[in-house]
Amino acid sequence: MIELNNITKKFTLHNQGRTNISVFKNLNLKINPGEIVALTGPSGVGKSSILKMIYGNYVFQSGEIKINNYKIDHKYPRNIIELRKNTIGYVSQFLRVIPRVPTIEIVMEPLLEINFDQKEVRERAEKILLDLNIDKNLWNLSPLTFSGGEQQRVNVARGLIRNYPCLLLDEPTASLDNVNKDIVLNLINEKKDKGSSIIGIFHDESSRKYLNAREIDITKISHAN
Amino acid sequence: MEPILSVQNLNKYYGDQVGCKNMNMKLYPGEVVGVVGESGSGKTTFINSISGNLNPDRGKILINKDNEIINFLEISESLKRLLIRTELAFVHQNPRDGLRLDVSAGGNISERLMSIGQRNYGNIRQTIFKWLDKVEIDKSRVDDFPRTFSGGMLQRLQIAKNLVTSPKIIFMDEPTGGLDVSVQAKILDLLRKLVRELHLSVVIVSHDLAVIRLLADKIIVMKNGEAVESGLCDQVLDDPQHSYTQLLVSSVLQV
Amino acid sequence: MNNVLKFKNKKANVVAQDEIYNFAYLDENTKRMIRRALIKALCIPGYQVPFSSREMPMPYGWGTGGVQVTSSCLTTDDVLKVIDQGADDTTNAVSIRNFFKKTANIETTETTGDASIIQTRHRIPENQLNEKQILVYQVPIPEPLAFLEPRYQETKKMHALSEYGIMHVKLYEDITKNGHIETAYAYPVKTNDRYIMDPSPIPKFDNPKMNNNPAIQLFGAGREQRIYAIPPYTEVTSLDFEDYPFDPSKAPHKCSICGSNDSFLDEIITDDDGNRSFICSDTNYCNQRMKDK
Repeated sequence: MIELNNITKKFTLHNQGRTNISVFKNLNLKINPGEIVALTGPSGVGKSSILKMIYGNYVFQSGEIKINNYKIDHKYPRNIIELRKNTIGYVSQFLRVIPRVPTIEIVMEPLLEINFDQKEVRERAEKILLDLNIDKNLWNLSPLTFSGGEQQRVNVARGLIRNYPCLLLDEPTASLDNVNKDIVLNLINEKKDKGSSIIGIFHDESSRKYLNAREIDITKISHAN
Repeated sequence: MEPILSVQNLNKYYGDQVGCKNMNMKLYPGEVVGVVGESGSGKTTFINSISGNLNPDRGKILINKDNEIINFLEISESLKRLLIRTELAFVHQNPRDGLRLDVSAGGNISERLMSIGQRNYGNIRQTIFKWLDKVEIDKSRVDDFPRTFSGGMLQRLQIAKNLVTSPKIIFMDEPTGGLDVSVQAKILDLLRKLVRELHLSVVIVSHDLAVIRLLADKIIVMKNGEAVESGLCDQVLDDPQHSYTQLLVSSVLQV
Repeated sequence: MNNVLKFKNKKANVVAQDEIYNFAYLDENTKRMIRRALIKALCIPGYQVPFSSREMPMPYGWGTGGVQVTSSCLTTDDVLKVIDQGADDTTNAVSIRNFFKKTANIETTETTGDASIIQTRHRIPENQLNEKQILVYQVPIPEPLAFLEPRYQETKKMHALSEYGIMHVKLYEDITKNGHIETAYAYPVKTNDRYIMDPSPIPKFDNPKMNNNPAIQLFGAGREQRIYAIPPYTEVTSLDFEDYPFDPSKAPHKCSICGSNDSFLDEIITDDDGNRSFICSDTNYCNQRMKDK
């Protein structure tokens, strides 16, 4: 379960005349286990910011965020690290990896945090890469040279190889063709059926409908703008 | 879980000049802390002060060794050096500073083993091969002198030399500093693997925010000898609160 | 006969000594300073004690350290033997013997058993020494860590804290390069289970003789200004690996003069065709054996 209660978020740009940009005021949001919430609204309204606050990338000025009843507190970065390791999966828009590391190892990595059986982890990574239509010949290459769609699927594979109780998805299907989009959406549905609380940004309506997501228009729930 | 290394209110002055001031840090087992800042911000003074290379003027350094808290600045010189040889490791920016260039690659790796009393040549040799393999240096190079190695190999050799006695806390000062970009990537990958496999705790100094983002869990941003901001690594880089951090992050060239 | 020393009261003959110099060349204050260093060295076996080395009437590298130690130990009753690479009759040995004959008017000998002080360069006599004897070694480089760690400050710390891993690195390199420990002289030893010590460039064949020796062993390095010592009956072990134990090997030959099988041999090229023969390096030992035959 993910809960955001009375969140206020603003950016202060010290080097640009101390400009204050208010993003959210009194933002409230709750995502239950087995539920998919899709954030909507025009770009720049703060959809990604919500995901980043939940993941701990962004601080907020007041209010509280609870993940499975655990409060996010930036005074204790250690706890956020633990939370990420065990509770939150995050598929970001862009792939950020060390150059020259093979795809298969990148996908294995999150699982190696909790499972030390290299062989078993490799098998699971191979399976999800197969499911996502990543050509076998690419597994031992770095994904940085791949096409946009392939990179995105590697990112999805890494984010979905584990069964996190909470999943954050930032445009996981943006640059995919229809066939691969359906594969990814089905994987997301599987996670929902396993009881994950899922919150995501999906640019196309068809995806949101396919996932049977609860749509939330941010402009309607936050008063900052 | 208790921190394996805890730095409290550490100060180091060079005469009237501030080296670093009021520094605090908690390093937990398996965690990587990055220290960033521009040249002269005090990051190297800081890492040298907490690793036994420099004597700080004030403050506390507590090391947790098998649930026994060791007050690093108060213990005898001999115990300190024993800890430095066994529990701690320091990877220098220039591998030539951390290696003996007129001793073979294997000999370099063997030194820490023999300094903790290993006296069986055959066993020592086995351990050397195991570590060459881990840092991806061809076994056939074991008896070659470091001066015949490339920059990237030298850095990997330095890492092997330091990690052979399974130290718990690793200090790294710009470990990829002098390397070209493609070699840098290999070293970063190696470091990440070793951190995970050996459950190392690392303090790494770098001016390269990209390196820190890839390796570090937590970050300390230094300016004029002081920490201006610290916290979760990607939070500080994605949503910096201090004006200096904002400047630093926005100054990075995009590729 | 060997172990009985002939002490004579020679005080009456002091006039025969060259009166330009104080007894045994060095002034009394210098000798006192060196004796203090020697006593300290004996108390901490293998530890290098700094001393203020004096200019001696011979070049560095010719035994200035050994000569100063000998000078400080000599009494009028002493009988001095000097060997260079085991031989009593080489230039250096003869010169130093004459030097003390002239400046101290003491008796000298070539017979190991008759001597009360033996100054040596690069050998330990084959005959067992006794409790009444002092062996003075000439030392070129006293610091065993010098070749591996050039920083003097750092070597001091390494000694103080027994950080000796690096010594085995040298032996490791030897085995790796040659399949065995190649170091054949100046083979490092551990004294009294504490300090690592350079035994001066004696052949490793002599290393076992240092262990538990009844005689006092003193080491003087003039140029480097260091004195160190091994008291009588002190444990001296040569460094090694479990699987590559120390081996005090010698040339697999007999002495072609006396036929000795267990003494250290010098290799001599006997003609232009490269024919070689092996003879005892300890001339007194060899001569004695011939006489006994």
